[in-house]
Amino acid sequence: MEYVEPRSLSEACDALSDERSDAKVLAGGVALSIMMRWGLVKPGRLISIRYLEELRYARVDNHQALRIGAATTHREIETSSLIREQQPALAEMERRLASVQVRNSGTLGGNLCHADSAADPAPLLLALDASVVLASVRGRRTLSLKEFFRGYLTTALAPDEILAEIVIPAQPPRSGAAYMKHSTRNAVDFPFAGVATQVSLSTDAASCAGARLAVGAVGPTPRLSESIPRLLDGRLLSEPVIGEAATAASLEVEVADDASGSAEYRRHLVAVLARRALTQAWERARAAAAPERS
Amino acid sequence: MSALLPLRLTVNGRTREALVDAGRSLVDVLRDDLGLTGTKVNCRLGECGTCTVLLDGRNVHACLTLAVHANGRNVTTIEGLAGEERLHPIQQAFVEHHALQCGYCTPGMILSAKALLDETPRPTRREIQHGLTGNLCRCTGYEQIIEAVAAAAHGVRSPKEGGS
Repeated sequence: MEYVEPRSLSEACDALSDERSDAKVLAGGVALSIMMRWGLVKPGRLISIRYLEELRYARVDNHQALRIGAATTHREIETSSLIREQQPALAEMERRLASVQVRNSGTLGGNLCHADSAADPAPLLLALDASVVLASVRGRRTLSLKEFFRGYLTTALAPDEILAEIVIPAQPPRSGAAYMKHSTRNAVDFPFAGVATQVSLSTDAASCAGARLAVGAVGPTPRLSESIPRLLDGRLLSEPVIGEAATAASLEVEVADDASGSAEYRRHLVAVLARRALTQAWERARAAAAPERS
Repeated sequence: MSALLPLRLTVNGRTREALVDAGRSLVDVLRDDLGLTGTKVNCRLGECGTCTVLLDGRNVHACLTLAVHANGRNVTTIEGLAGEERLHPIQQAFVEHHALQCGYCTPGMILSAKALLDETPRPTRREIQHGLTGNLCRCTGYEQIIEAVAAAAHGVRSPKEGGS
């Protein structure tokens, strides 16, 4: 196996465009090293972007969108004061991802490209309406995260493309986000179910102006709920309304029946976590609306 | 066939060299090539934390770290903590607070504790728990480990040791 450490993203794209080698992009290696040890992936060449400074950053652009370089580690996101201020739910999710050791090595881009359905970042980023920027020698394209995930461990990345950046649009006014998960151990383990949501409120802070909810870990790929916007947009929010929406979201998802939990149990978890996530996001949205109204 | 890669890294302050395959993990290079068997290896999945070492001061799983990613960098293993005569204060605190039984998790546990204290010198009990979530111990029930880390943080000596 060959190993290269390109000095820039464009060098990395060049290296990846060489069709003679069966190359894999390597970031922190947390997932890829296991996949290689198990023989599930046998690259002819590793292109390491782990230490590529060009892909390690978090900044807010002119449209108030948060842009994160794909090789930024989970730990860097967790501890970034900019991210804590701009997207507190993202920093919070990162703080509960796996363990400090994994967060020190693993990158947000690597996590998304691995596309494990049980990963924590995907549902939250789907709920926050994030998109990804993919780079290759052919240029750059932007895809919504919803289009990026194609199935179990499968993404829309072309063989010559590198995930360069994650873009989270400015939060709508009077909004809040939350991510809830359930796992055996409090830390380290992949969750049985993870639910993330973003709720924004009308100017009087009583009704829902928009809601998105995504579910991870229960099926082959993280998914955005179709029923949540239909059930909540424009509705006067209350505990019963949220409970009803949470149940509807749990009935809609495709759930796996496997050794770590039955389909019935998982569906139950989704309903509980969806209710908790919606409740917390709603509280946060009300808190965000409070200064406006006083 | 692929050529082996020359690796040059600093381990516990000393420059070390090895020839490695690109897919080789840091833990295998440390243990098998460099003879540093203080770092234990168990699950090889990043779940147990036994193989924890510091890479440029940050605790990572040596089993999930490719050795090539340590090229030109600083690695600290458990062998690098004690001085000539004295244990490192965290090691000393583990001894005094009976924070180990079989000892298998101890090297990784101590390095995670070191990473935590280097960043947060006066952690709360919650911060200690959070900092050690990636390290499993199957003997102690964690209580003494948390006490030992808290004691190391506050420079608490056992009554026996007395003064200074």
